Amino acid sequence: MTGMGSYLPLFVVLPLAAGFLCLLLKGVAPRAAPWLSVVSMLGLLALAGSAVGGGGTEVAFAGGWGPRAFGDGAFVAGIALVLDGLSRLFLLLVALVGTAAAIYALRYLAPEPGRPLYHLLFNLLVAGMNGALLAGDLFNLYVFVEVASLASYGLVAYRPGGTEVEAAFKYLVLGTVASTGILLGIATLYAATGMLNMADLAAAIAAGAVPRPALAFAAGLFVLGFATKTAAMPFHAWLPDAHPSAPAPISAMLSGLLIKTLGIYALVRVFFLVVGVDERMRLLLTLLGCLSMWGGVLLAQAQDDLKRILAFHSVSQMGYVLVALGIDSWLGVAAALFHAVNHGLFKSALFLSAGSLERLSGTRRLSEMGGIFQRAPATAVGLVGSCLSIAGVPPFNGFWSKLLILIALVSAGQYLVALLAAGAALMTLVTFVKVQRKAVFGPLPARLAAARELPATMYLPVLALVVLCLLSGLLWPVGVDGVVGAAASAVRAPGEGGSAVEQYVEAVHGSRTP
Amino acid sequence: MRSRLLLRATRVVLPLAALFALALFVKGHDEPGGGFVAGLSLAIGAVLSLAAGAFPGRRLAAAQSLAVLGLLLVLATLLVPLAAGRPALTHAFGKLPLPWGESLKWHGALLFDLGVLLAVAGGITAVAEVFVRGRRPGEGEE
Repeated sequence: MTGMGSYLPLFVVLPLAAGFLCLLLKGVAPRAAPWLSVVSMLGLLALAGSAVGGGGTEVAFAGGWGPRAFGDGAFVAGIALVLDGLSRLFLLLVALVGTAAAIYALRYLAPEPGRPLYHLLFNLLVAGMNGALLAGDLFNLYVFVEVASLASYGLVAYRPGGTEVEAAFKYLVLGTVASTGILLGIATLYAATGMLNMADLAAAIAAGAVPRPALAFAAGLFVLGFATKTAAMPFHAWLPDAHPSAPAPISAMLSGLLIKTLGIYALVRVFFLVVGVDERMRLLLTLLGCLSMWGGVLLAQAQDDLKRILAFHSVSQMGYVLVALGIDSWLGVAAALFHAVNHGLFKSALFLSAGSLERLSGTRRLSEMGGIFQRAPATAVGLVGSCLSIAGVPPFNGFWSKLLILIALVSAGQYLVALLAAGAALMTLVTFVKVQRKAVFGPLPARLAAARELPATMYLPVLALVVLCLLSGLLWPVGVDGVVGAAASAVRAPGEGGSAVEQYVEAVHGSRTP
Repeated sequence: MRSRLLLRATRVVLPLAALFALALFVKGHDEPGGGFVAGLSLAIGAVLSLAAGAFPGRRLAAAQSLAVLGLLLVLATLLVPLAAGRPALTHAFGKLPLPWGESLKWHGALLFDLGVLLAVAGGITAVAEVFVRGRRPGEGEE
């Protein structure tokens, strides 16, 4: 049996093979490692591009172990990889941002030793995220979440200074608590049903096979785990230390991708598809979202370190996504996913720009920067473009997704939350007007008089991401709406209390051999 | 402080550990055992030898490369069926007739297990070497 999705394992195998080869070639060709990462990311970009071109749900069973008849039904005992609209959207995002980060790292990391290990971990991170996006059962979701998390702990500590190791240790401890929560939640559901496959679990839970207290216990653990991975407000303590401590391309990967694939994607997949979203869950998502939106933006005001400002804004931007998910309408989910993807594009551009500015001016303190526009216009344009995008200035994607979230909130009658979101958006605008004014305009400090433009491999990826930010905003009516809409429809059918469970179960069981 | 007695002992222990690992590995298909524990047993022998001060000179790269080769072998067992137009990780199996009339069961998953064995044994030895020799990988090798 060769299903439509027989190529799906390649999404995980390609980065893994590239990573292992980096280590193998360490002694023979140490300069090959950065190029291996670029090649693996370009391959993933081609794969993700062709996957987005396809439609429907594609499934691959490891070893061909598909659904088996059991009792009066059928269930999946093997390992399934499932590609649906939601996975497609995020796989494309991972490939785009990963490619930019890999090209950026070519020159950014050039003077540093230990590069093969960096590239091994980078590829493991990508493999873990891709695996989590494709996993068709909860246990493999957990395994891939752990693969990506472990790689990220190592990458945060890549530069072995005191603050970096402290940040990585804090991240390790909180991340492990989160993963343990997720694992216990999975164990609870497994104990109640004896199933791990998400399609089968979703059907069983929808049929009421799990007692309510057990379901609530598992849901609570999942919220703890995935909210920590998303860095939603009361669970955010690790992020403002971990993300700035990593090298710039990794900050971009962590803030642009990791909190979305392990946090938002997993939350949407597990709650909207498997566990179900009830009234209390909606309230919880809205509360977490409002707290993150405002908490992140307010804490960012007090910072002078450019990367810490960006990190606190990641918390704040994830707040928008959570309030939009809390509406539990098709439009809300679509707006949330669109904003998550947009944030992936502009926040990674911002973190790469911050790395460039640090390289140019030798500092991360905003108060000591300035006037870089005169010396390095391409780098400056990249930063200004991504600042406009996160601030939600009209032609950029940040404006459209925030507008969609506001429309979804207002049409659901949540006027107070809409007001809070609009207020937080204004505060974001204020921060980023300040950031770009202090960082790239104004008088040039005397010690930066000799600064020169960085190599093209460092500003082109940022400019490419900024162009993508513009395009994904402008092309919304002709293509982007289709991809985002398919992603939302994969987990939430339009209409009051609509569910996509049946369609998902049918897709997974449909590829059964007769 | 080197103990010559321990060093002597490891010359016996390492081959024994390797033999034990081989037995665990081969029996692993039908009985308790398999690549992971076999890798651990082999690693115990290697780590003991390292601690006793055997293999002076550079060995770190070798252990690491073995681990990587094992991991690539695992990936290969995933990719070969895919290239042959079957779902990834599909395994082949059969019986290999032996000249004296009996037959040996062989199994595609054995390659996967061999990959696991190499990854576990190589990985643990590489990590232990960092502790024993007090050196980070990538430092002062070349």
